[in-house]
Amino acid sequence: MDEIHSQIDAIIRLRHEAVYNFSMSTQKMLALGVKIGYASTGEINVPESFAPYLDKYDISELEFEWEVRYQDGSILRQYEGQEQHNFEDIDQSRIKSVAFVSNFDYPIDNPERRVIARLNWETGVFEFTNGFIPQEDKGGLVGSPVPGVKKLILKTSRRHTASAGRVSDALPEMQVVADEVYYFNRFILGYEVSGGGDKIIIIDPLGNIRRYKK
Amino acid sequence: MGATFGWIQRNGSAGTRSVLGISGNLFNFKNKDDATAANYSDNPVVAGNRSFEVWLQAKFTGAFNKIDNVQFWRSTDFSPATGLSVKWDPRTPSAFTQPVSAVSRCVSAVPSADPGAANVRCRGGLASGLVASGYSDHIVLQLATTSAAAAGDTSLAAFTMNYDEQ
Repeated sequence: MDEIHSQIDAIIRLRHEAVYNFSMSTQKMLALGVKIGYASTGEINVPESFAPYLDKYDISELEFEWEVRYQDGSILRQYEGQEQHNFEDIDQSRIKSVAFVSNFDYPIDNPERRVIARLNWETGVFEFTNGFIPQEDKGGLVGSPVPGVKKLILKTSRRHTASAGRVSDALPEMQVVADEVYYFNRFILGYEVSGGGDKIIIIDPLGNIRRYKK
Repeated sequence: MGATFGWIQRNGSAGTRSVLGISGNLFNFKNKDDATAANYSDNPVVAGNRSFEVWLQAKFTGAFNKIDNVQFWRSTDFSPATGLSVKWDPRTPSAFTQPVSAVSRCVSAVPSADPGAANVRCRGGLASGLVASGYSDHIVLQLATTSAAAAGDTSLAAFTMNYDEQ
């Protein structure tokens, strides 16, 4: 037996495993809603379903943007073209409802194809128009409101993962990974009341909704 | 696009701030106090010694109401990591002190998973947050090595910052 062939075979196996793991890890991240970007170019891979709304996504880099409807019918959006509003711009005394609106259409026949969840501020309960929410979470969110003076909870949880360390110039393939940036946003909407208790949801980038435990 | 996030490294007696960006060759653990990743091979950490501390901050700019619940952890370790361990100072100090290579403030293992609650201070407190453009308090890291550490380059380690933006 020629030992060199065993060495080459072992290296080929290692290489195949590495490429397989690279491909699988990419798929798994995308399945969780993680978006992969590239630090050197600033580009972020987004799904095709974002294509009709790519301009909006390019501005906010958010899968969902909030929208506040006031009692007088006016609407305050987080992003109005290039103009941005933030939490302090919301007049909580005049709110009728608060919704998270996606930057893509859900593939279902629903007149509000981009609204994933709306909090009816007047009744204190949620309305779910799209996305997926487990039944065990849904029951407590669409039912009776939590009594008390409501304080709006509306924020985005943002994750940035960066690779640190120096990759040798002798390993150019590793530079691709070193250049990658991983984005993962989640969207939190609800209210808490002064006497205790809350109704809060958290939405992942793919539109999966869960009750949020603070 | 809301708050813009970026990594900052401070070094020297004056605590000069250098913009590292968001990914790529951000920083290295080495036997020199500077904010340049490129010269690591000229300043290797001798096996058994510690690197100089790396003082990092998160920089937030742009339009936001509040940034809080700032969490930091190491997502992936060096592989192999024989003889290598990253230490940090969980007090995440507000005040800058010139980095040293001695065993000083970094005596705790850096968190290796999502801590589940804020572990990086802003304006001196875990609940304080930022209400205008600015910096988190300091994330101080240091590489501790043993004589078992292999010579040459390490692999990549990945570090994650998670925060809530309002």
